[in-house]
Amino acid sequence: MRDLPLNQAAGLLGLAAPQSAQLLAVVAHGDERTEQPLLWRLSSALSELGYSVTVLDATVTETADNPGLLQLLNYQFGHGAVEADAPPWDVLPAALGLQSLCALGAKPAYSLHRLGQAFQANGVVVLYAGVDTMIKLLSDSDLHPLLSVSCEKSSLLTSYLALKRLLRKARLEPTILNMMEDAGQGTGAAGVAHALRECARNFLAYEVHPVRIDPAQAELQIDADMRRLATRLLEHALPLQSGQLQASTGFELSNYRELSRSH
Amino acid sequence: MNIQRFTAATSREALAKARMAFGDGTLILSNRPIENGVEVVATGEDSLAALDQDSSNFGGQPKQQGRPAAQPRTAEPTFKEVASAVEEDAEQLAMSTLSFQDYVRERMARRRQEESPEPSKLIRIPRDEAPEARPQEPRPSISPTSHSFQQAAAEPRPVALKVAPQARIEPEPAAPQGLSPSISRELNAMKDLIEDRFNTLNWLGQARQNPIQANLMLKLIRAGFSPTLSRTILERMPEVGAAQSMAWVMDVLERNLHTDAQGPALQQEGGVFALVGATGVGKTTTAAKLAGLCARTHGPSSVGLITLDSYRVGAQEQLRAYGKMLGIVAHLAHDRAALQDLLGLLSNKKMVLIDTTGLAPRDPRKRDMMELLDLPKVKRLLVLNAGGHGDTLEDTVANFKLPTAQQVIFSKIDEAVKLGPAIDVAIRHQLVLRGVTNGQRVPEDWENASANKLVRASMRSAGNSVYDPKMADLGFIFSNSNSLAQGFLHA
Repeated sequence: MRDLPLNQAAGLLGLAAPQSAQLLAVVAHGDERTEQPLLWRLSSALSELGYSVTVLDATVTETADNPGLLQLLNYQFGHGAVEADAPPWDVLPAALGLQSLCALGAKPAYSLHRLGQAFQANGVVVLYAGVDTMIKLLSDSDLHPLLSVSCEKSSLLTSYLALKRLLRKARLEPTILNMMEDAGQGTGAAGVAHALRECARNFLAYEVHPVRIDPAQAELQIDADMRRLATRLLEHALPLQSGQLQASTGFELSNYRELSRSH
Repeated sequence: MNIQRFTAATSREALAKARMAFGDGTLILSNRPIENGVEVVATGEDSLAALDQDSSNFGGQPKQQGRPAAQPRTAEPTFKEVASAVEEDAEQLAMSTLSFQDYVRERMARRRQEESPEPSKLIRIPRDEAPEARPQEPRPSISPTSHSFQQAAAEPRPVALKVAPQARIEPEPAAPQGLSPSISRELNAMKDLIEDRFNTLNWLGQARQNPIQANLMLKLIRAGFSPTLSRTILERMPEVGAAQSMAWVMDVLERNLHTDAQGPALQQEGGVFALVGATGVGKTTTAAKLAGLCARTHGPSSVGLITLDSYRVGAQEQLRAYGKMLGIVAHLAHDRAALQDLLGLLSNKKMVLIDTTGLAPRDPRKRDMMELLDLPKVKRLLVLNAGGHGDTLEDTVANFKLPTAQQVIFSKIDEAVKLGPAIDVAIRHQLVLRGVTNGQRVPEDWENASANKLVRASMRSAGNSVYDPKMADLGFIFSNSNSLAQGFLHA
């Protein structure tokens, strides 16, 4: 009998890039009331798209009672969901783990390589961290961190500062998300978006092209918008190479090789 | 039946005479210049109605129809003979429309035997395409028949009576003075129809006299090519042997099937391609194949996938699954702004493939979708099921066609019993074939477009089929065919 392939698209598998976890980033700039619901929805959307999602929360420190990335890197503990009503994704505290990754003096490529070894090849890792961590870990990469802007009064200032540091220090171009109603020119929420655009244009010579999601619209519509946002972010996700370190991340590899030899 | 000839210095005068004779219901059967002016052959509408209603009346003396003013003024005695012949024709016509074709052939053969045609009696039938396009060498075996058919066309045969009711929609830009525009339109349409019918019969009769041409004609029809294209090709065929004729026909088909063989393949050319077409033709699978080909050449990161299909259940998931296998993301665009946004996001890709919702050609949503795709740099690839019926393919192409050059992909050629309809529609609409899909495997079952290969496959006999026409059916098949415009086919 003629041998049939597994499925009609088995030939595509041989053409695919080596499978690896994908890293996304959400900027934590102090607007938790907007960022955390956003993170929830984003993780839900990624799960619905079929990805295994792990959120690394750099704003929370790992403890013995609440292990996280640090333990994962050191002991390879299993972090599968155990609670019955848990969402279909994992949330790990990651402040110390990321600190240890960045404190080694290693180049970002090495840090990301170690990070990739800890996660499934087909998974998505969402890094929820401040700009400082991103500067250390993701500078000069192709990743587009998600920077949310809300109608909170402080959001304009914190988002602008985050934008400025991402552009200047990390040389990362963020995906700016206006989580607000019509972001036209005016007062209130619209005024924040307008002001951020004007500030970026005048002081950073940067043209903001935000994506807008209206949190007041119907849930189904928000979910659809979030799925589109998720695929958009995945387009510029950073592959975490778990095997042989490759040049696809765009980092300098020579330092990593030297580091590997010294170990 | 009362048919009369009117001569006058000008066409207007001749038509006026005819109208005086037959009143408002005047039907002009022919109109030709003669030495001293213009000759018009006309009859009355009432005569035609009576002819249709009571064919038994035709056996006796010509029935006088019309008004008192309908007495012939300029009728010539010789036309009694013509009228008599017409009545005989009408008897035959009343039996069956189909048998009329055979009748005409028989009639012509009889005429040929009885008398040699006088050039002065011949009326030249204007044709859509110049006869110069056809090889000019006389064919001894068919020339007598040809003459006979021309003669038949010259006379105001009762075929006009049969088809007159169907020919009421053709516009007539310049109505002769003295005739109402509607009658003028009717007459012109009727005249065109008669000419076309005789033209077809004439050609078919010639073709049948030539066994090579007849066999090729049957072969083309059996391969699924349209009578229109078959006739256009065979009309231009030179006088050569059987093998050379076949080679010539295939060469013509090959040269007129435009492909991208001389240029880069789709995955090498790159750009933004939207796959459009009817439901179930394989657009999503074709998109996945193209994505795989581009990934093979330029790497997976060189491909962008967008789907507009939020209607079909599982459409997004299907494309997403293909994308995941390649390690790329499939995006959903729900409106024009989102599509533009995504095209900006994917602007660094070598190839962006847009999968669209499959729509029936006359689905009202099609217009919205085509407008959505009406963006600069978005090239549309029409996916046609190569196994589709000719009429279905024609309808699809006509409804999805762009004013600019249309690119097309033939899908499922492995399932197609006859490739003739697909090749035919591509030739007649001058589509550029960019590739074919010949199986389910992604991306292996994709082939670059090869006109030679496709034409050879189309002419390969697929065995006997109950749907195959017989030689005797050709008259029926060709009864409504017209040649393509001159210069359309590169023969």
